[in-house]
Amino acid sequence: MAAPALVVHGLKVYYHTSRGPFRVVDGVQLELEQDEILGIAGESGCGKSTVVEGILRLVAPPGRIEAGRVLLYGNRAEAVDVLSLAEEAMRRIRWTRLAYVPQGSMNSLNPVLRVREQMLDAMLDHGARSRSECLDRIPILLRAVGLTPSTAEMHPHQLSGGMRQRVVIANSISLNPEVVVADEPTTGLDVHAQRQVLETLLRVRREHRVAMIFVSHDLAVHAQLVDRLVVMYAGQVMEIGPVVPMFRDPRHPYSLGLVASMVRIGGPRRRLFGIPGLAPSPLEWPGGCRFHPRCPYAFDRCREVVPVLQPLEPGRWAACHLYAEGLTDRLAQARREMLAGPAATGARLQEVHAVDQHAAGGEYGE
Amino acid sequence: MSEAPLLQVQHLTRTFAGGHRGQRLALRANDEIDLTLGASGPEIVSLVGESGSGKSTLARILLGLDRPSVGRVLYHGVDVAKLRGRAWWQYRREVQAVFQDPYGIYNPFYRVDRVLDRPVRHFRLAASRREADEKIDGALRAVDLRPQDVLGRFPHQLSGGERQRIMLARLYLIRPRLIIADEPVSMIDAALRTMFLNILLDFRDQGISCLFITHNLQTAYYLGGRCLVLYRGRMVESGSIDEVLQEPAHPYTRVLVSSIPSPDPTQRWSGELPEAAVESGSPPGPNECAFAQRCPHVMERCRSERPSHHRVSGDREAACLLFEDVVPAAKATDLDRPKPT
Ligand SMILES: Nc1ncnc2c1ncn2[C@@H]1O[C@H](COP(=O)(O)OP(=O)(O)OP(=O)(O)O)[C@@H](O)[C@H]1O
Ligand SMILES: Nc1ncnc2c1ncn2[C@@H]1O[C@H](COP(=O)(O)OP(=O)(O)OP(=O)(O)O)[C@@H](O)[C@H]1O
Ligand code: SF4
Ligand SMILES: [Mg+2]
Ligand SMILES: [Mg+2]
Repeated sequence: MAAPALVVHGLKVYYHTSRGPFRVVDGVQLELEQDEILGIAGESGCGKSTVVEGILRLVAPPGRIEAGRVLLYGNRAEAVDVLSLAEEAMRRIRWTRLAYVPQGSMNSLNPVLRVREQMLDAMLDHGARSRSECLDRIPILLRAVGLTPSTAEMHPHQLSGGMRQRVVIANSISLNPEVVVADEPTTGLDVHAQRQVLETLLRVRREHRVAMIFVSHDLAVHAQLVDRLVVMYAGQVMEIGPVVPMFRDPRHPYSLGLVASMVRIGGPRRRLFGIPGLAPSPLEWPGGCRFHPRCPYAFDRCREVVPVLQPLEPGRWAACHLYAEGLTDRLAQARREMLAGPAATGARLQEVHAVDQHAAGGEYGE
Repeated sequence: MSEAPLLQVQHLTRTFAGGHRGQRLALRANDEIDLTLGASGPEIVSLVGESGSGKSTLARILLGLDRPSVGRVLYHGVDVAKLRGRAWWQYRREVQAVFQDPYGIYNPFYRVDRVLDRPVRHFRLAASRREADEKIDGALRAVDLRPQDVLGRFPHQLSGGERQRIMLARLYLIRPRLIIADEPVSMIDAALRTMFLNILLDFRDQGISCLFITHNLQTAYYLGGRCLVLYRGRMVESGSIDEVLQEPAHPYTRVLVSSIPSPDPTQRWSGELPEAAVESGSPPGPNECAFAQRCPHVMERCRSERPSHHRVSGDREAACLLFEDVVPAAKATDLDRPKPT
């Protein structure tokens, strides 16, 4: 098999605060294959953005990369370890080999500059030498993301959110990178713009042969775009696998909870579970499996021993003791229950409300 | 009170001078909108439509943060513009907002406690400090937050989902009659979203209506109820959410529905985005269909008259000439062939 495009080993990123270290990314491993779109999903705050900032070495203080290796192969046979490069060498590969679309970047275009100037500046800033070559490239890049070359004459406020996002994507591929990392590029867009951005990413992959890491909290978007999916929880990878079997048959109880929380238009209208309980704090992760306080299937071992990612079948990995213990029938039951059961939250809420309403009796309107 | 519906919007238009994206024409952000909410008991109504279609403009007017240029908003049959004193204060209490990223409405220098304390004071919800604390604790627990975990913290020390839930706890304290929720779930993951939506459903069962504004049509489907589709300031379709999403009638709604990402990786979009989903430049003239410039079924007349609302079936309406003489039971799918004019 060909070398992967990017490999992340044991990545740890901590934020150092007066309350102690926030272990936001705590031992992440993943592999991006050639020409692949790899999705990263997981709840808000689980560390998705911090992982990609770590990969790009753009973690801001008080954050610090504590450990790990990020091996960039791109389309070469030899890897460079991004984390051990000197700052200058790092600057040279950023954008030319490894490009980044940060979360919310469509809202950070400079309002006073035309698209053309912004694109030109970005290329020159990242090491392009010939101004005229850059200018020649702008219409080509705009077309590559489905925008007309006249877009270059516009100011950001004249563009819709989806168009701005495509300008940002055009920027990211301007120096022919081998790997593009895009953080929530469809979040906050309406469905048309979202679809345009997704189609743009597919086209960029097809025509420019880049491998991509795509971060989103929205599973429906992953379903439309990615080849393989990484599910993160509490700063770690819980499950990795090809997208189709991951959706049809999620193996980790947390992935199950996510998949079971998706709404299907036209599907039966019943209350969904969600994932009850609170997200843990990066200041004090739960011991053993980090998901155990919220996991409906936790048993003693889960509270004591940290489960490691292990292969289940070719291409599929999960970090859960149910597999190590061979308790797969328990998981089958879990799947049945979570994909079909009624929600508990509603009923419980109802009780709380009833009591409170009684207590508040007569006060309404005062 | 009276039998008047909770809320009625009558012929509401809001224009902005100058237009947007460099256009000169006055922009009709809301263009002759009529709607009724809570006519027969509490309900959830979803308001959907592409970016810039005027959803937030309508929300701001309903919240009393802006005024219509033309038309009225009636609350229990009374014109909101005429409410004064205590009646106005009561309106502001009974109609409450939840916004997309509530971060903006938290003051970063105050602990989150204040978000809950303030309405208790302002709306005089408790007779004593102890009663206030009890109510706040109860409200936090009702949205699955542990009071000891969140009280005393500053907004930046909470996750987005926690901040969002504190906003719901605040509503739980205030007990409004109507919640105007403007894109409340777009930044949060499916699990938190589910819990947020379940709380809105529970609220409805307790008599609190909701106007739910969203880009995410799956969440609108989950909530059920009715759905209103806005396009360039005009209401182009209304009806039960099941019908609107599964058998969209108006050509714009069909385009909108075709762009919903299916949560099934084996059902990916095939082919490129339909031409009609790509936005066009100039705002519609007053005497044409708002969608005429993009519509795959456009006819001569669509460019010279503004279509009125036609009944599609049951209580479903579409502002489209294709439905001019549709017998009430007609199927939207029969309309894929444009009719000869
Ligand atoms: N300066 C900081 N000090 C302490 N904690 C921080 C700091 N910056 C970020 N964090 C924490 O890091 C965690 C992970 O943040 P990150 O932005 O990586 O999450 P995410 O998965 O991308 O979430 P989202 O879906 O909301 O974008 C959060 O709990 C956040 O509060
Ligand atoms: N104060 C204002 N002055 C001028 N134009 C405005 C103003 N507020 C809104 N508009 C314009 O009115 C139109 C409708 O805007 P609105 O914010 O209501 O759309 P929306 O449907 O909420 O969009 P989104 O989904 O992006 O939030 C837009 O073209 C917007 O630019
Ligand atoms: S290891 Fe245990 S607690 Fe963790 S997900 Fe698996 S069953 Fe649940
Ligand atoms: Mg993020
Ligand atoms: Mg809006």
